[in-house]
Amino acid sequence: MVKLDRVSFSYGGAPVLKDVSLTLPKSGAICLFGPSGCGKTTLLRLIAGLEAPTDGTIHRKASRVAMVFQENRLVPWLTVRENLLLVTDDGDAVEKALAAVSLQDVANELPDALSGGMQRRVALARALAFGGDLLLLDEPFNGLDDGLKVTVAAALRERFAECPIVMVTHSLDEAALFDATVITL
Amino acid sequence: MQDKVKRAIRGVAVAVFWIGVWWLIAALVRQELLIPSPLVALNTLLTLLPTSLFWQSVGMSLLRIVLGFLAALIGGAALAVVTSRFSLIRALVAPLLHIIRAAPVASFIILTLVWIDYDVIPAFIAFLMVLPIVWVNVEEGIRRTDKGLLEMTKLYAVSPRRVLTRVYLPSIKPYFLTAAVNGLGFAWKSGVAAEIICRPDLAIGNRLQLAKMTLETPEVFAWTAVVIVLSILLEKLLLCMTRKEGAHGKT
Repeated sequence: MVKLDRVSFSYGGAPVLKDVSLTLPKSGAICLFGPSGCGKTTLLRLIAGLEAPTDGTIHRKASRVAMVFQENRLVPWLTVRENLLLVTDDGDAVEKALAAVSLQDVANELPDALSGGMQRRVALARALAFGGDLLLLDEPFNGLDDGLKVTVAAALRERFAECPIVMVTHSLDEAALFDATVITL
Repeated sequence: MQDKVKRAIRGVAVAVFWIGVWWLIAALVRQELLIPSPLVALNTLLTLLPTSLFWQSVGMSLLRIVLGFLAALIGGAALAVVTSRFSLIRALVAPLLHIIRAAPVASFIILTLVWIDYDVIPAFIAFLMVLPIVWVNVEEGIRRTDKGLLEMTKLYAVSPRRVLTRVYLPSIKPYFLTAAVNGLGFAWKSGVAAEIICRPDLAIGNRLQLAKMTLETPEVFAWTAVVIVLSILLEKLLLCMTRKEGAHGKT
């Protein structure tokens, strides 16, 4: 269970979020929607435990959190497969994740040899390979074509069927791929 | 391949030019005591080469300086890990290392003459001169390790050992190798300088100093040539090793 109770967050004295309360469902997706700079990514980082609230409390029982960051955050000197094996020892899960995002053919390539869209798929595959009991997605489909968005969203929904998914996106179409409840900030 | 041949030919031509200049100066001065001709220096070197004293001196100098250099690589890297983690220790250690970098090598050599065995001083001086170079570079490498990657590994609960071997070490490696290449030249020069001043029995520096004291200028030139050639060979060897490492390590 993840519950935010009157959470506020300031950065350098400037308020970013104020009195946000939110309870994540046991499963299913919610989408944080709103204009740039309204604090969507900050809220995601608070849920992930990467930031501490300046006020309010966050109850988080999820022990294994998978996150697709706004940037790909791939280790440049590790191959695509090695990037996935960095976060898990489960070789089968890695191969399944690579297949789900159609990257088996470039599994031994370094990230720099791939296009931006392919690198994004590696970041998504990393979350797929890891699994976990909470999935956080920050503009996950940047650089992906519509066909791939549908395929990858289906793979993510299947892998994280039993746990909550929180996504940040500027596209309601992408939120629809997860049947997400939209929360406007 | 053609480029390599061209470069080699140009290198030889440059060397021939400077040897020619040396020759000309020696011919103009015409005093072996002041400046022997290249041929005289070469002859002196050829007479030194078959002697066991030559090889023992070269071997012991290499051993001392390389040991000091390796100790500095290990010590500097370990110190960088500690100082980048504990700011208080950094605040204590940083001024010392800055003093070592700023002060003349000769001051340390003379100071250590009082405290340390003559045989150990060149190794210690090489260690002391290279330590700050490695420390600065490795600390910079640690500081410049991608924070985004570290945050990602934290979120995915990657084990500390894996973070060290797959994120930190490859990230620091280019900085470490740069320090090693730069530091080797310093180790060699400072180590030989220490040998000249403290004069251990078997040492290039001691041979150089003896030749100077007995006004054997051709021998001074011969030993200086040995120092230069060994320095170039060591640097080439290290560059070759680091290039191989770079290819394997994907840095």
